[in-house]
Amino acid sequence: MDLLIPPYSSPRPPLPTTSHPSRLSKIALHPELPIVAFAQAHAGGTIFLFDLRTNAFLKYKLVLPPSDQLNALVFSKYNLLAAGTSSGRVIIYDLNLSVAASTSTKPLNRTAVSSYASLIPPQLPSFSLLGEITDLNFDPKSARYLAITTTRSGTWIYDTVYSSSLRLSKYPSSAVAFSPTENVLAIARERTGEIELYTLVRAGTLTFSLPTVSKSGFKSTVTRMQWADDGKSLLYCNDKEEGIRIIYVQCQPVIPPSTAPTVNSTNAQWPNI
Amino acid sequence: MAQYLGNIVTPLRTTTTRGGVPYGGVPTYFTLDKSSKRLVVSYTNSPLLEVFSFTSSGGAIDAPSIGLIRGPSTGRSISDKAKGKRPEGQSPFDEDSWERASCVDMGFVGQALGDKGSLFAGGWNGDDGGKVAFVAFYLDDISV
Repeated sequence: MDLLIPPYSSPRPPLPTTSHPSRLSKIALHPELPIVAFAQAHAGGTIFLFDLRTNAFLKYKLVLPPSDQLNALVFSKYNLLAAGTSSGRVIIYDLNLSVAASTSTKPLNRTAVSSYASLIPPQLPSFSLLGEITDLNFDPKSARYLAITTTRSGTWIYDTVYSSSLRLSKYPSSAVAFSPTENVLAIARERTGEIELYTLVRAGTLTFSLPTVSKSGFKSTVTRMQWADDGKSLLYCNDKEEGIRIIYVQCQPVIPPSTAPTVNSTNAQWPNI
Repeated sequence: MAQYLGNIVTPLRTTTTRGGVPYGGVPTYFTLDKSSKRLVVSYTNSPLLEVFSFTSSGGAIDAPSIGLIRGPSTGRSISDKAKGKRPEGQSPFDEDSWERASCVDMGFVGQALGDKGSLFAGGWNGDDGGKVAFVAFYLDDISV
């Protein structure tokens, strides 16, 4: 078992269950609709959905497992909401975000179609192998692929259509961002200040190049990344460092698909686990 | 494949109004609006967010600071000045009717204000719990 388990990703102490007042942890903005999701900070908290079209809460009651604290929350443009937790779980909710859904008075606790992104077989302990989920990002073009970064097992690509997964990088990672216009994926490695840049090819499934590793300028973790609208300028900040830095990323020709991992080649990754 | 373009500096400063609220330093979160013209940054140990006007062309970066966003209002004794229309990115942080809360996450809302504006949403944790506050950005309001 060569899974990289650095000492800094040891389990955190149990989180105290807070009473009142309730505090926020994460918010997520729908990329195309004026809908905001926000979640309570305590373990087992609830995710709320607010619709600015109607100035009303959507009548969903999305409750996390009792031991799970929310670490990441992201929408896809096709109304999937992914929640990544401190226990290594990724829960994907398939939501009806129509105006009728927010104005309806009937079902008080509407149930969302939820599923778990299975990165490892369910009989295996997710936290021991995966660590915490640190960030999530949907592929903005297809809204089908979800990039998942973790503290122990690196970065995964999850196909929401076929429920299959690929371990793209073994390095513990803190942030991930698909370019909105270019076929590039950026992944920030924890504690090294390095950013992995993958060129991807869309031919039925995603195919990834080998990564180019770029220095961020500091040794500390890149804590947040966002692409500008040109899809080539990547803004990021480092832990405990002033300023926001920008790099310009150009796509490189991709290596032949036969030598690159694809999202369907999940089994090829399992020997590493 | 990657070329370093530059750095948006965020030195530690304080507001010049009474109280001298600190801002700047180490960023905790930031977000760009969809047009990539407005950059909002939160900092460790500051209840204020800073707004930059961001442009990038031909490898040159320009990002002057254009204003500050304060935490959500407490709802107590908001003055007429605070209620009135204010320039983009200028919150009434010299008033006492706002919480010195910390921003925990942020982003821009899709399609909320059409093509001419962007609606910023911030999540805040204060003494009386978490709040989500919104700030509208109308790009015509300012010329930098």
